[in-house]
Amino acid sequence: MFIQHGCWQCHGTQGQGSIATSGGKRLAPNPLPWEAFSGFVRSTNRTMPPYSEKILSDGDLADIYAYLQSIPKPPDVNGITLLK
Amino acid sequence: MARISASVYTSHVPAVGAALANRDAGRFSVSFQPDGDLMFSPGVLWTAARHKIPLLSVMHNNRGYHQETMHVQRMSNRRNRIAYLGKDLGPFGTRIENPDIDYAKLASAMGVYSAGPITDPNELAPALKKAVQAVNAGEPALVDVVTQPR
Repeated sequence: MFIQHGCWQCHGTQGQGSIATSGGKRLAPNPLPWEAFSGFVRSTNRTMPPYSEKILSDGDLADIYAYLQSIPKPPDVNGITLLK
Repeated sequence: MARISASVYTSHVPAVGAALANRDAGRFSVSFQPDGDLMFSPGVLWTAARHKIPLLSVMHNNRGYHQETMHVQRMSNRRNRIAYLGKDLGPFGTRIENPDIDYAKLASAMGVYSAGPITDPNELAPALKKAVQAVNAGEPALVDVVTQPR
């Protein structure tokens, strides 16, 4: 669902964020509480376009949220040899 | 070292021109090359090889005209329409995949030193080091790196 509905395009396939997401804010791990998350997705009028129930069902949105909750914490950046 | 910015349709062609100027000035040139952008004028690779223009192209291969992909998604949402049609060529015809283009082979076919496609981060540093050696020896090089969309 996360891929099908295009979330990955700006948020990355792991919800890790990019320059397009308010300067790199992460969706996952630890996404916003469900009420804030779903409310934002449905009603945002900022750079991110809103997803109405017509194009993203409540069920699919819940699946996306479950996926974000399942994403593990990334490794410590200091442990990534390539970055040194 | 001079860094040349990436954009749409204006990346590799001016990068080769800038690298030509930098060559004569003794500067090392690096271009972060979008995949879709290169497909507008891939023949410029041959030009770089033909005239021995040392340029390190690190390909930002996100397998799509991603700016367009995001724009179509955004406009579809704002018009309350589903953007992803679920077909094999999808989502909306702005993805460059299936088949995936092998840019290393493309570059090699035109006489450019190449490496990739790199999908394992552990392979990146060794590939870049060899490519830098090729550029320092006076020839263009392209490293195809498969990346996240942004």
